[in-house]
Amino acid sequence: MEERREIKAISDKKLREIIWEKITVSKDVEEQVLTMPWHFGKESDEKSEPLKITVKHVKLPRKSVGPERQRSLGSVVDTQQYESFEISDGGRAFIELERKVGDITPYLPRIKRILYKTGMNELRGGRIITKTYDLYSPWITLHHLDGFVTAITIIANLDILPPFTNSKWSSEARDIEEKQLLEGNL
Amino acid sequence: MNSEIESVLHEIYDVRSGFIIPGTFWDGDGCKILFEQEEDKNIRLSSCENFEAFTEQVFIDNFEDYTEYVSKINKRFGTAWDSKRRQIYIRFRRNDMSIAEAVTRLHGAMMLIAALDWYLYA
Repeated sequence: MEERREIKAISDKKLREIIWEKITVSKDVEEQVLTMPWHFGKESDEKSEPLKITVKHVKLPRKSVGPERQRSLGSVVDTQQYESFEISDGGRAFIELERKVGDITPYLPRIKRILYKTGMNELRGGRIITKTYDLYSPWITLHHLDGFVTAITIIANLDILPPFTNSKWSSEARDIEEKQLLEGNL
Repeated sequence: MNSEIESVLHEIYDVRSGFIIPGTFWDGDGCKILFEQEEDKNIRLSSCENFEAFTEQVFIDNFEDYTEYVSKINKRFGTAWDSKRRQIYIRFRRNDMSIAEAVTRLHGAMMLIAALDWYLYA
């Protein structure tokens, strides 16, 4: 049985700080910049710096959503356009990786695979982008950004992770990459 | 904790048990982080049983093969690995680091350790 020490009550202010506030996003505003604390440092004694993410309110045509996604969206498919938030890191993950390794070119294949693994993320002009289709509420939490922040964190720290070696994964990733390349996403 | 705080936290925290669940889902479960106040006034944030189960499931007997990378991750994020409890944790004083920063660091380290799994079973 694990020894349990006192779990300290945390103040309201701190609790709000921990959860990066409830990030409010208005669909009436075309573009907003949100800030959340993040640690990009090369060493642990480097102070953590905020991550700024840009959230754009976009409407996507119905045809851009695949059949599987349409099923999960339920009644939303009845509309002609989908309300969506397009979230971007502004190129921060690349900047941080570049700061650590210099030339990021050798890391690009791994970056592409990470984007695939974290789902729904894409690369556009060095920026990591994700689209969120199913936000009925006017605010975003880390839940909604899960794959996005995972991708950013891993890419920004690729210099301390081993290269991919699994052949099955390599083959699967290659197929995806080729498809995305054809679509001009990479 | 009052009801207002609970309503703010309902998406991320399991306030009933004193855990924070900041994202990175494994099998639909967030990565739980336990807050503990130690006797020497340090705060210890640590991964919980779901992360332990995750590492056991993913790495089975070869987690030690990845200790080199876990060490690098710990060095970067200021975290540490408790091999006895199979926990990753961060210990800090409130004067030196905010809880938000500590959670950020621990969460980041957990994400990278989780990513090591991709090298085996992706």
